[in-house]
Amino acid sequence: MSASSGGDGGGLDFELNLAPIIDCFTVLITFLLVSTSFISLSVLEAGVAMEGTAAEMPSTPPLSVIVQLGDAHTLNYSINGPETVAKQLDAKEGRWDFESLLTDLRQLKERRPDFKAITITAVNSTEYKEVVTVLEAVKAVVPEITLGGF
Amino acid sequence: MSLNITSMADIFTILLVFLLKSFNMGAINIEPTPGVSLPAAKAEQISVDGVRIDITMTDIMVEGVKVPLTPDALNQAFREQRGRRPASDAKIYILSDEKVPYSTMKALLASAATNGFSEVNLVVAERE
Repeated sequence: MSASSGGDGGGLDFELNLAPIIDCFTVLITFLLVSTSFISLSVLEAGVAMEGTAAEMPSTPPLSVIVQLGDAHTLNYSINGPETVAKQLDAKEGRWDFESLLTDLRQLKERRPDFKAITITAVNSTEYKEVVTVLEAVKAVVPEITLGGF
Repeated sequence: MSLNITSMADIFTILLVFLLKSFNMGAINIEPTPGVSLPAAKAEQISVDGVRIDITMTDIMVEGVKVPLTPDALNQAFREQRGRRPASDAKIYILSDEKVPYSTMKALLASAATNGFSEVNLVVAERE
């Protein structure tokens, strides 16, 4: 098997043997098809807070902020510390109201620059993917997250 | 009779370029458990090292070994893992189906924390 290409008028003709290239390609393609993963995995880091309280992180925050995922996509958050606040955010168009939650957390962060950790809990029936969704959203504002409610 | 394989070489080249582009050599090389649908999230790609926990809709597996969802069995499993690892190794990484209820996670994490595993890595499918 070969392909030939002619040179321009009077040039040398040569035959290019494509068989070894096809052999290499076949092996490479087979290897890549077998080993390629079309899903890439990544990791969300969290800590663990026992007994429903905020975790004692190495840099223990002076305030304790707990966000609870309730039924029907309601978010209940409480801030315990020098100030005590409890608020419920109802579902927005059938989804978690992240906008309001993150706005409130950002405002808290502006008032309290030492606010770096938050605890997320949920009712027992909450699906894991909802917890991951909230975790991912909150991580944008608060880097240290612990899972609680035990 | 000569066979013209130029076209096949063209196709192979394109296929190879596509596969090389999508070949993933990330730091995370984990084979998800069959039947587990991981939740999607935007997260960091970091290396995972620690106790692997697989949670499907029917089973919990700690390092590949099925464990009943009872506090005693989970404590026993984590105690065994604790015995095999240095005290400073506090990591677990969880591959859980997205529909698993939080009550299962709570039971698991409570046992893990009791046995010194307090650093939780939730493995998710990367969302672009």
